[in-house]
Amino acid sequence: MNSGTITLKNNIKLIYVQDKTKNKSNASIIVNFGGMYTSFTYNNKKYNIPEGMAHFMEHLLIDSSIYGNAYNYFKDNYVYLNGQTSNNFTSFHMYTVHDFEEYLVKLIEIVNIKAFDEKSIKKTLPPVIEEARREKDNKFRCLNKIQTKAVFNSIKYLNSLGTDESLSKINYDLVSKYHDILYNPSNQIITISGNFDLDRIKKLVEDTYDRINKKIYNFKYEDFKEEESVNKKEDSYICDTTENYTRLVYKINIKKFSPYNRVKLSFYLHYFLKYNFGPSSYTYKDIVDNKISVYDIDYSCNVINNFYIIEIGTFTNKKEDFIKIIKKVIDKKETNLEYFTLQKNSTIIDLLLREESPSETLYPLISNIIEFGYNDIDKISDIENETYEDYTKTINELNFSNYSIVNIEKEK
Amino acid sequence: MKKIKFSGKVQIIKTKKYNNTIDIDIIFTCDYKKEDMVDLRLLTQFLNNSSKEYKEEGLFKKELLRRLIIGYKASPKITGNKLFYRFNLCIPNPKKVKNFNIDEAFKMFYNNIYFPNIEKEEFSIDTFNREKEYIKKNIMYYTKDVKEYSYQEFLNHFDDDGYLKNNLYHNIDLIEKSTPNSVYKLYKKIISSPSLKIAYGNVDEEEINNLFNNYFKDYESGCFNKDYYCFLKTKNKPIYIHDKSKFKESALYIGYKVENMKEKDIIYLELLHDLISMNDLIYNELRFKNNLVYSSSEYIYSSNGALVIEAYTNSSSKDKAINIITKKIDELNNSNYIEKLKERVIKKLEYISLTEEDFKYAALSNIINKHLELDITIKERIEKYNKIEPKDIVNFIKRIKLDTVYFLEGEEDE
Repeated sequence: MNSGTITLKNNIKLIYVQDKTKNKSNASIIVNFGGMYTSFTYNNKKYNIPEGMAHFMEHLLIDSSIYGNAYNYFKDNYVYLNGQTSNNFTSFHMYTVHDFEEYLVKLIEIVNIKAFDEKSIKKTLPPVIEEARREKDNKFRCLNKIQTKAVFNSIKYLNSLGTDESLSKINYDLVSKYHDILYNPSNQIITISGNFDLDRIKKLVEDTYDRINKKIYNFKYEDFKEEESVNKKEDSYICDTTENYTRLVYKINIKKFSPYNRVKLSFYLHYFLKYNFGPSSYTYKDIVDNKISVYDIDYSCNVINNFYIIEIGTFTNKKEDFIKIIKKVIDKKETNLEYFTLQKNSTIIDLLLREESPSETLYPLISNIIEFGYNDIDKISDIENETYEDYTKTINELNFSNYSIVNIEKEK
Repeated sequence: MKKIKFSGKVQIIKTKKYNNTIDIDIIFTCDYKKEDMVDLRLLTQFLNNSSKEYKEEGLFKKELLRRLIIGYKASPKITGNKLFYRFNLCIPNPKKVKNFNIDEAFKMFYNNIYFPNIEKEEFSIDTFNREKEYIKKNIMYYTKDVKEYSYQEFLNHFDDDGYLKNNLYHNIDLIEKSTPNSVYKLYKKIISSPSLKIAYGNVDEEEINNLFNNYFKDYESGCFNKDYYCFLKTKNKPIYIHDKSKFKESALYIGYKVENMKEKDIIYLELLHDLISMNDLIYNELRFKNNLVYSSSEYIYSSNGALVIEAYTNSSSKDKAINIITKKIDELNNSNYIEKLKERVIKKLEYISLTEEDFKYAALSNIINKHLELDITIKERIEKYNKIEPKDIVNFIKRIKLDTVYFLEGEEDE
């Protein structure tokens, strides 16, 4: 397996994992335009982005491409195509076992060439509105909404799917202009994995972008000048549910961490959280023995705008007891040498297994580049170089004093 | 009824392409009845989280980590009146990972299966009570989930025979009937039944055979009845149900059953499903041509002789969506049309076959399915589909009867 990153002409970044033993080839175009952005500045002018615009544009480009409905066009030729919008970016993904280069070119065209008009915008809206409506039944999506409002001061929660009201503001002129600016090549990353000829792909991508000849726009998204402290200490989503859920959300500033150290921190946090909140932990046993919950403890960490957001939650009707236990464990910052060694060994095996699958190598690499700004894969030697002293020091230096509590609560 | 035989020996599947791990599978087979469902769920929780030696979940999970076991899982699969209970161990290739002791890993695997957390023919009462509580809460929680609720309500009307409703959602009363001893009895029944043993990966045959001889005794060849099918009976005429709910969105289900379904019809039902889904016949019509839905899907229950179409649409679009779906099924009453659709399905399967070669566990799944006669490989499917004449499908479709149309209206419906 051969992997790496290359910067092509027009500043397009190409991330690749090549494995010529595979039949399948995959490609994605990742556009740095996701649901969380509310505005950008270009030529000293501020432009507001309606809620749901990124997601709508994803649908529109697939529904109304130079090949007609791109999903159907690809499907009719036995190639898979789909799109996805997250808070941070929009991605268009394809895979095939035949004619990969041909369809890679088409994917680039679909994303970059405007083939939509007023009529196609009207046609694309109803299913997008329908998708936005159905999310209202998703309790955890609603919880995430209040969580964003509680944890962040400058990042406003945006429903990346939009609302009826916000989507009604979308018109042809707006979409066309924003496509020009935000979908310009310097705002895109291409990822390739599987069976392909790297030199041919490089030339193909460069030639295709040259041919399309999209203008480069130097724009800037609003600067989230986010404070270390949280906006609100506690909030709840009240709904028709049978079980209450409580989550502590810690906000940790990682601005001073270098890209490599952010990646290293992600491993250390994984060890720390699993040791203290996983099924082998005393915390879990404590919660079960004291009948605070019959469920596992959920935990996760994500990077949002120079902050690590750590979530620790469970279904419980004994909210105060749960909060007390979690806070005590976090404050203690307990680590364990034996467990650290076990986790290190397990991680080394995981990295070994990644060699068998291009996508298992690619996704962490993309995460390293986009989330952490680190342009390399995770290596076994990186893990072998981890020391218990470094792990303990790093965890002890983290500031866990900024947190919010968010809940799903039964209607009274 | 056909009998399926096991040789009792370990089936070794060597693969050089994926040489970082070895998978060991022990699959027991026994009869299953509806009354077992709670015990089965509880048993699976026990077997995945504890053993006699490591009674506490924390210690059990830590020991898996210490022995460098990548994965350990106990899981049931039910087909018709048969239960397949699978124990899977995934370990590193000893040649690739120093400090890995394959004997220790095997020993723990063996002990997990044969020495569970039992005292005096009962599983631990504290853990039992906690797990029961978890099951009850989980079921109740999903009554407030629109997808789960709407689907189970649909089954209430569609499944008169009780085969698809054979789940915890519809049998919550069984929870109180389960005891630590009833769970133990089910466990004994499973462990005493014939088993399929497989080793998969870049295995050293001699080493694997020695390990199996040390820890797992070879059974004499065993056999079991292929009692996989519980075909649903068709209604005299279709029923149409419109319910209201407090959910935000609405859901539509259309259920078809095959009249006088037999085992030999299964391949036709599967082809019918592929004709519809691989060509996106319904999805294209509902979403792209008529803008009625964000999503729709169709699935079959081969063992029960049923086809279900699910779509999320609102009241004002419901009737149009129903007309489109039923019309699309009726349009398949055309040999030329079927021939064109079938060509595309076969072409797609040929490409899927190539994609499957990239999937590490495809060979293992195929071997298990072959031994248990649960499914056929993609290549076998292509062969079978090629032999089916369009007129045979047209004749089969005449036996597909519209059975139930169920619509659950949400609050935010237009």
